[in-house]
Amino acid sequence: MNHLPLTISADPERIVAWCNNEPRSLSRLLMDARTLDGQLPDRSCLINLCENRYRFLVGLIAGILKGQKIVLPPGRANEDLKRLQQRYESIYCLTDTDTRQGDIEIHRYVDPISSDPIEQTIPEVPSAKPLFELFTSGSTGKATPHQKSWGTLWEGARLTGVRLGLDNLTQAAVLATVPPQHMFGLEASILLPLRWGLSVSSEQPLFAADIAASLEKLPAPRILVTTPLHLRNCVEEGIKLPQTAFFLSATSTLSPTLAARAEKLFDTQVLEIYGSTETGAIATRRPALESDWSLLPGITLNQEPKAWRVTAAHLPQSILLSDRLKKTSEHQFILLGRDSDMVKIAGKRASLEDLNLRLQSLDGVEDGVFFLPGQRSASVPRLTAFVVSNSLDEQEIALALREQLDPAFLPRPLFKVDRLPRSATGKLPQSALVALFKQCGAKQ
Amino acid sequence: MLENEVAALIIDTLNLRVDPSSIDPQAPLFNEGLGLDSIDALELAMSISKKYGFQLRSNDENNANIFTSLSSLSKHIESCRTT
Repeated sequence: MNHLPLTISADPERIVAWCNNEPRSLSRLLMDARTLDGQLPDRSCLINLCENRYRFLVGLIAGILKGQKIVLPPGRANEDLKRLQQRYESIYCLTDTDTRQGDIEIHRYVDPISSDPIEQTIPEVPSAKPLFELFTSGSTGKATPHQKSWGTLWEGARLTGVRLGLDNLTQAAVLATVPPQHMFGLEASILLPLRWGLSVSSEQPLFAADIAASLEKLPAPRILVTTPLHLRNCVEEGIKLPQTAFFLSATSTLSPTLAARAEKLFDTQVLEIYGSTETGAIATRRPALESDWSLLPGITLNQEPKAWRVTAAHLPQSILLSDRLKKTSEHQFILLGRDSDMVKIAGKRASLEDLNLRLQSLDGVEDGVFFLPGQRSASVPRLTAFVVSNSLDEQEIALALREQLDPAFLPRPLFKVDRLPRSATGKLPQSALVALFKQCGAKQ
Repeated sequence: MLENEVAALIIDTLNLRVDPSSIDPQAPLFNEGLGLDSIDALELAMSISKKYGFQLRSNDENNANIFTSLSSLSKHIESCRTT
């Protein structure tokens, strides 16, 4: 079997991470990973829930060394973990924060005592083996697993890095506001650094002031990996950020206005990634200047009757996209929208049909439907739900849904109604839901 | 009382449609409690900065302390507010 290196540079003194102003060298990282490798339980799958990005990286490498599959769950809800446990018999969680007491086996990450690093060789990773498992849907239940090999991730990081000009930025330090457990965070804050020799901050700041503080701790040049939501928070708070080489945004479409404001305010370039869990990153653009997405080199898009198909040498198979798009040239396209059944909230996708089924199967719920209203002003889209129930009140229904769904998909708000405006055939026309939404909103 | 005011701000900002008095001041706001997520936290941060004139900072990396409960959030606002 072919192998690829774990990271590009063999210089043991190279800085790979920053933990609270303190640099971590490549040799320290490898030593910590080997220490952890010796402590991890003998299981076939590792769910890496570490929130500190350095610890996540140590856990990931230790898992690879131990030959365990690295599972990155769609969410942290107990329900999500329970399903993984049903899927794999021999599975446990590696966590640095979680105090949950559940059925699933927990291995708590303990920071290894620092000692002088000894000579470490760069591990070789099998390139074709499905080492990672990620999930597409954020709603539980029908979450679809996707296998990723090191070869796919490594080549994807090469293509993205070439486009972003990382060959001239190998000293850069990355700060990410997104978790490494999702595809964008994994690619941008773990794979890009390993592939291009960048360093990464252990922190995952949330608020604008946190982002500023975390960036301050990093040496220039800095790269901020983020989302439109965090970006909007920074712009609206009028925060001062240290100089960055560029921002990299994904998970939902960035408005050109917001991108332009951020570029001006923070004197930087705001670049955007288009991709999915199935494909990884496939295109980029700079929304302040262009609406067209440019495909990464080697990626081709072909139209089929129902959808666009993505093909690339590093993807084990071609993949149908769930977005509608229009090609504007051989290597460029614009996005038109999503398939109507799919909703995407905070970078998590769910099928409305699946959400509706979950709502309708709750005890005490007679009928129910999720609805995505037009975007609230200056806000991320949130779902609404209309529910018919004789025995439950709105809060009880909301409580029952919390057990079932990732918080991103919880209805805000949930309306209890006497009946749903179903047509004679039982269908719920979008126009009727729009009208019902107006009616419920007016009553509030 | 500030706690009631913050409860109303949370409900208003996040469109939760629950009764402010139904929020247990000691119950966690995220996941198990009200089921809020980090998007809600950011929305709240913006409302809080508009209303109370300061920018929220996390106490630690995972933002656990401030958002532990309505009570802890209210105490934090009380100690940081400029308006």
